[in-house]
Amino acid sequence: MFYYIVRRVLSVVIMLFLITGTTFLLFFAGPSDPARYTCARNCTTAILEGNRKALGYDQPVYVQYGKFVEGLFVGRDFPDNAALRAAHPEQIVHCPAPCMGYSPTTNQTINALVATAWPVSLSIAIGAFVIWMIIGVGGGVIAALKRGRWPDRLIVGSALIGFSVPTFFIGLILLTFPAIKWGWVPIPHYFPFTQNPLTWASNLILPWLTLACIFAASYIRLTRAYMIETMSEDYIRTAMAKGQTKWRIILRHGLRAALTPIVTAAGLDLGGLLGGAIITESVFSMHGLGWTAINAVINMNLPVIVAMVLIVSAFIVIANMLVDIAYGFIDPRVKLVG
Amino acid sequence: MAETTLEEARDGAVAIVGRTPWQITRSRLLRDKVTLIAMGVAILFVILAAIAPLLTTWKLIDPYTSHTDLVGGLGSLPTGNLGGISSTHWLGVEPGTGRDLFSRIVSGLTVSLLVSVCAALVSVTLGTIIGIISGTAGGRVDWLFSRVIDFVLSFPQTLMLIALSTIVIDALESALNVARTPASMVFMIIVMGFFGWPSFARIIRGQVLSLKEREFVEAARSLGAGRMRIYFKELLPHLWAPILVYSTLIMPQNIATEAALGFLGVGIQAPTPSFGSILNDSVHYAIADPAYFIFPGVTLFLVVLAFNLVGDGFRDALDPKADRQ
Amino acid sequence: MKRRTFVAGVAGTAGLALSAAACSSSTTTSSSSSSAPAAVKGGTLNILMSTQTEHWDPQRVYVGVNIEAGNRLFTRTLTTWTATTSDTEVPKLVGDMATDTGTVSNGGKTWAFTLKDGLKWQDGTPVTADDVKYGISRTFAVDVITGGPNYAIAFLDVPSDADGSSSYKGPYAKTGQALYDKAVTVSGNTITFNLKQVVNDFNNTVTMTAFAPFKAAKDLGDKSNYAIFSSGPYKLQGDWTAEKGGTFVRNDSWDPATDTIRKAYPDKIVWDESLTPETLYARLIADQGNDKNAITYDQAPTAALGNVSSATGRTSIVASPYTRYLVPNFKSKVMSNDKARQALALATDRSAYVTAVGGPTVAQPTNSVINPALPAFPNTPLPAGDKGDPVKAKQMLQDAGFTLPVKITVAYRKSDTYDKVFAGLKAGWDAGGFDTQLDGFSANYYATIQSVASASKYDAMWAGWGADYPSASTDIPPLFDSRINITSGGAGQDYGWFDNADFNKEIDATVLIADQAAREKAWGTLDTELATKYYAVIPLIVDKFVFVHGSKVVGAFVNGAYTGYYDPATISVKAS
Repeated sequence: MFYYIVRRVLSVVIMLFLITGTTFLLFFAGPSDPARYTCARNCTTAILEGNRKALGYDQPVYVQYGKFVEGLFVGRDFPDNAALRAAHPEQIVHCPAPCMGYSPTTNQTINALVATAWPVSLSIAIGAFVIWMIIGVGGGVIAALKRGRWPDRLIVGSALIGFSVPTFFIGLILLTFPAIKWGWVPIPHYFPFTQNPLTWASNLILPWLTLACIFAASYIRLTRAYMIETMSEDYIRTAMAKGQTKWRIILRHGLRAALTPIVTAAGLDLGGLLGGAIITESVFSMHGLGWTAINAVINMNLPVIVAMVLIVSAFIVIANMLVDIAYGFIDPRVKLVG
Repeated sequence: MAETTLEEARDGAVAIVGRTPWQITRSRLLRDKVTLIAMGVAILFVILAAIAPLLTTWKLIDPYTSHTDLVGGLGSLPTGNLGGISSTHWLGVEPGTGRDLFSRIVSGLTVSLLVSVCAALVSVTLGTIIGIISGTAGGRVDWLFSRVIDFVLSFPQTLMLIALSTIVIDALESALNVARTPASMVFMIIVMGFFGWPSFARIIRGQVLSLKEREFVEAARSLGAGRMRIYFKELLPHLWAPILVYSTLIMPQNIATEAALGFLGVGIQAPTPSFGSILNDSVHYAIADPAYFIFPGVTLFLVVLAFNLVGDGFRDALDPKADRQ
Repeated sequence: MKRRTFVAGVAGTAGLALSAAACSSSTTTSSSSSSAPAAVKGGTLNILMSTQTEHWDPQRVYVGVNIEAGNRLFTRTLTTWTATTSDTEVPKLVGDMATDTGTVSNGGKTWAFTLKDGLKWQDGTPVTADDVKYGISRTFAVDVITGGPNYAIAFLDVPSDADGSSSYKGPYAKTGQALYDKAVTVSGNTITFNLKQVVNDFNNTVTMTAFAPFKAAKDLGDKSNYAIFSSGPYKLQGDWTAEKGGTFVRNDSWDPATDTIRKAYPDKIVWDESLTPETLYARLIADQGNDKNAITYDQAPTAALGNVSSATGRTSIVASPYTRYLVPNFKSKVMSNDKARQALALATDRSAYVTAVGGPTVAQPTNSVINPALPAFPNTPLPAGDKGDPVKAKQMLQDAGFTLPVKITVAYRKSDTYDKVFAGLKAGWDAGGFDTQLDGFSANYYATIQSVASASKYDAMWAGWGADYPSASTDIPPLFDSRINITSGGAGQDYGWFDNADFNKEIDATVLIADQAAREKAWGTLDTELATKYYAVIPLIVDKFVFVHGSKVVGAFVNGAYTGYYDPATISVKAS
């Protein structure tokens, strides 16, 4: 088990290196000139070359990548200019490890950027997760128990509809009607949980519902399928024969067995979401990681793009790993060998 | 419920009853009214998309001509009711230009479906080839492909799609020497296709692993059939079921992705209408001109729903156990 | 993209009132002046934004919004423009930190300003003439202090190196410090500027925050970008968060007795720049809760215009300082032909443009690059009315020996609205014998169209411009003088590679005209020549800004001549 975990962690690290390396190659050594994206109107060749040097784009891509990796482990200074550091140390921004880089357009380290964006994404992901798990698992169980009858059809039907509506369309409808036109809920705007939990929740309810809508739909289908499968297993029949109450059987035996794959999927989905829900955050202008990433793309802010790819894929890969490891603990049938 | 699974069907157990897998599938499908209706709707959309260029040539629809007389006031909104619905403009007109919304949606359908189908073809082809090779070769090749699949799946796909768009479209434009619109279409096909294959390759690999121990492969091998022949002549015909199901299920995904990217401002570029490029504009009018926002959105929803239903129907009909995976 | 909104002085100094054309272009529906209740001190003003502030460092600010808001809230300058009491009133130039609007000598090459007594930084220390001198010196550190205007480098009498850059490298490197100390001298409370050339309106130049003081001890170079250190009535509470905003509270060190401009009514100003344009306007129009105390510096998006009319009495529609135009590319094979450029101009359907951006209330066709609000505005007649004349254009192309349709590629800065604008223009051009390919993109638009690669790619390019000054000398030479624009690296702002020796001679002659009115008129003549003789530019439209404010906001007037935005100097919020 220990050996497996070590191997798994190692493979995660290697994977993250490969992903950031590829991203670096794509953006910094691609056909287009990254310095061009730093120089807007009134751009002269001199300014362009100056920016290229200041941002280190004049160096070979492997050197740039090396510095990026170095920053992750020991931190970096910006701008990376020895002369300036000697003459005016007060102007140097130190970015401690794990340093993900420096955003030239917002004059801050990406760590600082992430520190403000991350609570937003976390709030959105957690709330949506709770809602979709309740609706998804609850709906799935009911549908499975009433299989073939009208509640099943209703639930499965609405799940398919929820699954087919584009996220941005639901989000915009929720934003336009309940919030803007009817004023039932505030027009979403992020307030920290610590400031006032009630304001926090009432402003996040629409983003939560938007995300939950899509995910609840797939969890209804998932839960229903697994419930139907487990409820037809022999040990359930045995339990029934023993005369246990229906709900006790459903909860203690049926759902419990079905829960393992659901938790797996939930772990992976939550992992993906913690890296930012791009569409939902854009619709509601929530400045989380997803919004930050899109904004970086619009402004071609390359250091931020690379950092965001790193963060999002880290969440995906680590969630994968945790789920795999957790499997070993939850399910005795799984034997973990590398 | 004693349902016959696909595996049993292939085993020939059903041959006693004298029904081929096709017949079973067909009879199942014919009993599934929802899927049949959805299939009808999907086919209607496909036909509409296919003939839209002809309709444009015959001037039956006109997605490009402005009718500035039909918009007005501050903001140049349609002057008629419900987004300017009339006998000539069934779904109203576009604010700012007065272009016919119905024509734009129909033409957009062509572009969106074309891009989605091409991307699905890329995914399915890549996924099938790599899945078969990975499954039959085993050993190091299999290990390598599995890692590649893990690698691609770990990329944040939406983010990469968006992040790469500017750079890659620029590069395609100069490499292929085409305008931005075709370049953006090629980009969407390549990138959506590329991110779609790994999960499918996994499914095919799993199928191949179970197939390759079967007699007919052994037989072919002992008869001295080449590796290529075994891969594609012997195995491929047994994989049509997952290929069909996956193709129908990835279509609505691609359509929705194209639209979502359009919402974010990347993807297929104006003036060519697509769901993405129409919604990119119409989403801003949710308050000022709700009809312009609702009609393209609902059409998109119906297309995605129809294809999802068809995909689900196919899956249930071919393999009732599939939805438990 | 970067300088989305350039500062644009529209009113002039002595005697330069808005022309008649400017008045007709400026309608206002603001009813604030008719029902202006007495302003009261106190309350919180909310500023709702979707545009992100790139710089608050006074020397790096070059966006109209930030020049005006910065100046009114925390960055006082030597001179400034007065606040206005209506959207059309022309503000006057007055001394702000300086006792007056400056003393000119040496035939316009030396300017002196004397600071008032009692000016203080937010930490209570006095603002000195040396602080002003230090502040301006930062502009010369071009490697650190990026983004701001470079008038200091252009005007101050500091020699240049062989490569054309200034021999003074700024206060950090200190190379050439003696040269700068010679050009800018301080004696007690008085700062004197020695200029390279005659600049008769240098006292207008110093209204820009790039000429504001900066306390050397607080200078952290690039780290100072959002570190606001106030000399005005408000100071930052806590930190400014990029892409989110910050909160301003009263600066007790500011002495109202030294300030005739800033009324500083609200106790607190909350700047939130994390919104989308649509939600921000939806909130302003809905006028609920705290949004009643809100203003914005973002223009209403086209999609929101239809709802703006429901915000009765809270709307301002004012002339913008910008002109949008199209330049034919003289390096393209087709457009190097006079007749092709003329045909393109003839086939241009400006009415489609106007409709696509929201109708005649928010835009009007023009055939001049110079904005109607400038005295130099020549009001060049449109070649063939609003809609253009594609039939004539087609004939012209045929007569010139072109095989129709003539294939052209046109670049424009992409947005939902501009996709529609160019769909309309394309229809006109195609009817006029062209086969138009559109290429819309938004990332680094200007950097791209001025590149060498674009010279062989596009036949025409869209652009927009607003004067930095109330003089067309900040319109014509920056855009069409090939000598200061075209280099081996690109076209500069002469995006169409227009390079005409005769025209450059005319520019030189115009600069030398001593009489201001005659000089401005001459700029106007050059503008007309560009559009109707050389066909080097196809002016398209002049647009208007639309703003909405909350119902409890009193005294929200657009200072059109200063920057074209609500002036925070006079804004107050009703108690309840």
